[in-house]
Amino acid sequence: MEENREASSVPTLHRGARLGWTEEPRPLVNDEGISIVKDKVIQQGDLNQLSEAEYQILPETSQEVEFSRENTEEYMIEDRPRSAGSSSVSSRSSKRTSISADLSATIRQRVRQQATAKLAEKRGSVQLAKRLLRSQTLQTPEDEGELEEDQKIIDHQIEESIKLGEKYTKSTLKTSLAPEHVQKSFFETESVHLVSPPEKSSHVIFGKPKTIRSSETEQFGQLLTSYGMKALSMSIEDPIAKLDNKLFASKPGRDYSVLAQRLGSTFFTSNGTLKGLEEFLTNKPLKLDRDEDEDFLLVDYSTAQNWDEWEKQKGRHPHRYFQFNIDVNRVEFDHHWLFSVEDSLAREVRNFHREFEACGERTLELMQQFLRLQQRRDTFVLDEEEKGKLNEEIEQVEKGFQAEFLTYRKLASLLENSWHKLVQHRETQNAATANLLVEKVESNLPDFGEIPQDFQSFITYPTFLLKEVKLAENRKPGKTEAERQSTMNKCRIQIQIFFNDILVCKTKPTPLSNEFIAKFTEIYNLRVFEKPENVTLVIMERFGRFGWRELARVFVPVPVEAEDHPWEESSKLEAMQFASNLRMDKYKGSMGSGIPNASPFIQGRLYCKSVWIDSDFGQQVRDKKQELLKESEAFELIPSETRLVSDEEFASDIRLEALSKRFARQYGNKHPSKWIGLTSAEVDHGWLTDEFKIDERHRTGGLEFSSIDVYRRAGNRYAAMIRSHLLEMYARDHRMKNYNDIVNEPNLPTSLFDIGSLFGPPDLSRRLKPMRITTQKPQGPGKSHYRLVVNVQSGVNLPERVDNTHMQAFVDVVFQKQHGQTQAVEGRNANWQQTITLDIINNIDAHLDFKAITDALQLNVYDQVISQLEFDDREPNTIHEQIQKRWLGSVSIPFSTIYSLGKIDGILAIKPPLFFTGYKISSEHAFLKVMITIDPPIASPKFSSYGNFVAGESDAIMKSCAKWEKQCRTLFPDRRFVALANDAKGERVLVTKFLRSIRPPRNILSVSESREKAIELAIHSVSCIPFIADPVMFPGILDLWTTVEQMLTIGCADEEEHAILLACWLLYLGISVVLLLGTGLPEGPKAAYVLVQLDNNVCWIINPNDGNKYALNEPMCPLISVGTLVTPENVYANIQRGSHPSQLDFDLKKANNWLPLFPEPRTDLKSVQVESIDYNEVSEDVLVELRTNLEREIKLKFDEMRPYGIPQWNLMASRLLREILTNMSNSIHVDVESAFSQLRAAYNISAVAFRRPYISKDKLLEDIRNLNVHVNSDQNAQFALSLHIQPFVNNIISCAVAMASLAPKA
Amino acid sequence: MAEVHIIGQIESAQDFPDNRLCCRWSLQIGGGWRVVEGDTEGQTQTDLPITEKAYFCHPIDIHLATKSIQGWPKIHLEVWHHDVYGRQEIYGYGTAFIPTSPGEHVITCNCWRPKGGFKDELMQFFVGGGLQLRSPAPLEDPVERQKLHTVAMGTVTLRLSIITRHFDRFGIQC
Repeated sequence: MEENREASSVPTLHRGARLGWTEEPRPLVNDEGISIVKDKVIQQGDLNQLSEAEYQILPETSQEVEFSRENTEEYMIEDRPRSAGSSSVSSRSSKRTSISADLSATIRQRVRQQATAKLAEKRGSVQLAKRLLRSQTLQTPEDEGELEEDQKIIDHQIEESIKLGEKYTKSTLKTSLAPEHVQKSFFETESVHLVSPPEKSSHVIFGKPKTIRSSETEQFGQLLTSYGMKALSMSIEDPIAKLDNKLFASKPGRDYSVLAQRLGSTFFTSNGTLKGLEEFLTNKPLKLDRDEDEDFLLVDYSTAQNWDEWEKQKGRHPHRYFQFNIDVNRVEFDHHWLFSVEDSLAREVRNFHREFEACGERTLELMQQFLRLQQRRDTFVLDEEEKGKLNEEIEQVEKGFQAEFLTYRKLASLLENSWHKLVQHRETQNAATANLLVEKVESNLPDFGEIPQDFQSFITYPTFLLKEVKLAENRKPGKTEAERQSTMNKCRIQIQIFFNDILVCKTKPTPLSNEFIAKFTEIYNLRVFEKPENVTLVIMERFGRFGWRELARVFVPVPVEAEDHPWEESSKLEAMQFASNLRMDKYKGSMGSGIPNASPFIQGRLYCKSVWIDSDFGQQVRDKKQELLKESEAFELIPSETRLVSDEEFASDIRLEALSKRFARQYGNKHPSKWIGLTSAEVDHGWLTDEFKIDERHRTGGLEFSSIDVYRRAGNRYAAMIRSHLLEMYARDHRMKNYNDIVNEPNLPTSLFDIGSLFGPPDLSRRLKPMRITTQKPQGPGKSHYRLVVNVQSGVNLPERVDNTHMQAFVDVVFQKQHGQTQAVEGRNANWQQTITLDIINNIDAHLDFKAITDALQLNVYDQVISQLEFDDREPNTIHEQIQKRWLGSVSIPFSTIYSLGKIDGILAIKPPLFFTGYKISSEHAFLKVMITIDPPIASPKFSSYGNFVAGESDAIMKSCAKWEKQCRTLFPDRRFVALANDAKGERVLVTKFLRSIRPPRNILSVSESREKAIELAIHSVSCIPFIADPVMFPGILDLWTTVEQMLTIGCADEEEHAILLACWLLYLGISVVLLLGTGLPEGPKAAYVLVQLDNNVCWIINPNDGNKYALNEPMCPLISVGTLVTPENVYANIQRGSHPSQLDFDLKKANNWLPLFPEPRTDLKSVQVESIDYNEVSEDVLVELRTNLEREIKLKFDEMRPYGIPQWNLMASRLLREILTNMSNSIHVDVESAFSQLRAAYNISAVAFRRPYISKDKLLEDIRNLNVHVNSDQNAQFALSLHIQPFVNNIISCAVAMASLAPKA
Repeated sequence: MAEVHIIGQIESAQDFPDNRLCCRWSLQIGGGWRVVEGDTEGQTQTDLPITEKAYFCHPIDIHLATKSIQGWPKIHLEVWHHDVYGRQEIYGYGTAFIPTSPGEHVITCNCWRPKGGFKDELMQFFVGGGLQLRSPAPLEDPVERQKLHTVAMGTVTLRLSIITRHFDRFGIQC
């Protein structure tokens, strides 16, 4: 190796001399199983050195040449010289160059001589020692003595090996070696140069470089790859390039040819530079000829600005959008599955007519052109050349005209044909449904004479007119035909606009006209923030129970240019063909679609047009397009050469996912920082699943129960999403911190302060006036055990038994599926005074985060009734009785209310049953007086107020709001003063802007009997809107108010949104309404009530959440404190001493009772609500589906709840119940007792009903379970169930359930 | 995939005509990159020094992952001047690549501002304010940049420590 390295430093020229080999066709493999045998190796580079005998090739040394395949391309030669006399040599299978016999002796002699001479020379010299050391095998001192004997052996070996070698080399001898005389002369001359050889025969055998056949070189060359400066750089050499300035020469600055040879051409551009390295575009330095003031649209002058203004200008949302308008005009069906044969014929006629007209116009144009040209030829004086040209042109036009005219005539005959077919069909069917008439109009224009015959015939050619006719009276359509037409009227077409595959707009469902045209004629303005990838119009159809189904998708071409006046008449609609592969069977005389050999597939044209309003963006789009066209080859964002890992691998790395999630949550403060391992294997999978778990709690799980449920869930999730998104946005915003948070700047001491500080801070604690120790919020994952303490005090106005026996009422307290019961106490105003404690289980996280608890505490009031059971003969001396619990009402309090208020001590309104046989439910509200706290006491949560919001109002308003709030808060720190609320965009908007008169749905408007009735219906509809259940909804976290429109779309709302909706509706009805914001039970600090003043000076305070209404002076009103009063023009703060509505004076003119935000009511504020809202009727199909599903589910659950006996369902009772419910929902008074009188002859009946907004299946089942009807140990008991669903608008559904248990009379 | 941690600070700015400066920065990454942790943009405090330089010592701590070697991250800087009236004006733009080798690096980012015509310069001299880039495109695109005339304004010094990970897996020695 050492030598090798030395040799490699010698110039290349000599390298050839050093190494010369041939490769043998047949390699010798010895028993050691190694090595391809090389024939002779002469090592030790330099010829000059040869003369000095610097080399040390010994005859004994077998030149071991190994090809080690270190590299597939390259062989490395390893040669280890062995020292003389080493016995291991003999075993080596080596082959020597054999020379002819006579020569061999001479050579041997010579070599021997050389070697010995060299040995003699070197013996004892330092050099040798070094060499020996290097040569790995240690030379023993004995070697020298043994030299003589060894020689003989070596001679023998040499001879043997020569013989051996002969076998293999004979064949190649002639070619691989120079002629003998040359060799001989070489050695002879060589010998002259050598230092006089010593007497002793040399041990060195001398090999001479061999000539190599070119074929062999090639053969070996195939195995080798050599790189050098060649080919590439030569081919692009350009004499001119040399002259140019080097810096800007188009030649690459560096020669990459070697790299190119190694890596192939993938990395290189056509002129030899590396891909991705910017090439100079020119070969001159760029000096732009520019004026000093020329503007390259790169820079703008901007003045220096104050920091505040600067912020405002480049605000947080510098989004720029572009307006993209889509005009959806109409859909015309060429074939629809409801086409009758006649329709299809009529359509054919129409199509032909359209073509015919278009063709006629074209022909006319050509004719005019012809005439113009002819006139020019005849009137102007032209030279020959021009004349020739003109003649040519005229000829061409004439030809074109003739061709067009031909098609024109053809179309005419086709049109006539199809018209005849249609007429024929009408005659056979004897009914005209398609009101189409074709009139042939013969032209009676005078003969022009001068124009050619063709034109003359064109002008006089008959044209056709299409006419719409009323159906003749005597031609009444047949029965099936009438049916078909009525189905056609039911069919609705809708177009959905998808922008980049996101649904952005829907048109209104539009019916088909008689000609199968759906007209929309609407223009949709899209605000576009991103580049349009594709714009798709999806044509949807709804028919009967099938729901919406997709007919076809039409891709709208995105225009490149913006138009300045896009909606002028000149802009033409584009007709886009579409077709559907929908297969429909024949239906009531229609043709159907896609039936082989019978009817074609649905097809038609969509007329639409799309336009950019901003020209700038159009330009951008165009540029992009051109760019794309340029690189039409398969474009990859990341070229495969530079890609490290695949996208999937990159996206699925669990560790990175966990890290980024942790980072994202750091602000949300939901989870503390957890340790994440250094490799993916160490990462806890919990990171990825955490979120799902929380979500799963709010989903009912399993399959979708009904379409309403799906809708509900989606709405709920969406509402929660907006809120958490906003929350996150705020949290992320670092500017949330204001100056004082970061810099603590103590005030400069004033002289007064100095004196004060001398005496030290005042001692706050005084012996005789002990101060309350402020409660602490639990720190970290507290192990302490929290309990809910419920002190049930008394009930007021509970339902009372009709038979005047004593009530035995008790309260069942349920929280997180734990129950606690009070004793049964007599009387309808029961007094329990009993304390129940329940544990708080928080299984969301290890540490108690009360904000995450979404459960509610439910209080159910029951009456305990003891009823006789059938006497059992087998057990004498026993009395069989059972205790029945009868549900008298319930109230539920969200945990968040308890948590945020810390302590609830007040009156809760009970939701009573709709009716209960045997009980009299008073029209007065029933209340429950309770006190609820958490033990050990915890501080109510502190909510950061987001000081640095995005202002949605003008500065003046913002300032006055801040001032107003501050002023009020100093007076009453605990009351709720709200002047601004966040809208869905995250901007702070005046609360008054949310109030606007909005047209309520039709069913409320149509209540004609009295205003009160209408109001009641409105209240009831509003109270049926479900609440959002999400930890994000925790009161105080976020005051987000959506507009009525948004809320109805989402389908769920929080307390304030309920109130706003109700207020808006009532405003439309012309009722004076104000919004009361404050603290209530059970809503907590989010309570929003509506105060209504009727004409007769009667005022109601309405809780829109449960639909209860209270009189103004009602002391039991659960609105504990009123903070803010909102009218459509102003906001007032309650600065009276009392805060309960019964103690308040509602005269808003008294400024010392009500502090107004604006001194004068403002009417100039533009409301955030839209003027009118389209309400969607709840689809009948959905209701039917929901009712059947629910009934089935309830019965199933009921079975499950009664493991000891399969319930018998009494159908007659069920029917009765349904009647009662239906009547009740239509507000017809029903005497429940008398309704059951017939059944009472045979049964003891106990029937109960309640009405709830439909929120989810599980919620309803839970309510039914609370009824406790299923607990009945009577063997013969029968049951009855009825369900009534009352729809309002936008999937708001009220659901009434009645259940009865019937015990047969003996 | 390979990962890069960038930990360091925007240390100081010097040689600007005036030292009352603040610096807005943002990290630009190519398409194959992904920010795992850390903020990729920010703004330093406004330093109103009496020293030779403006010192920010604004911390930067970003964790990136990549699937491609293309689009190596670079940092864009905007230097804003706080003038005697408390107004802000642009004082310079600069970009610097994040070093590709692990270890600590001191990066000097030279900043320039666009030079306007005579009128603009006159305005700037007397009224304040200055030419601002309409979009950050010239910072990215060399072809755009050649159209600009600029005035060298000063340098911003960044001290960044780089930790690379797994680049060796793909035969890239950083």
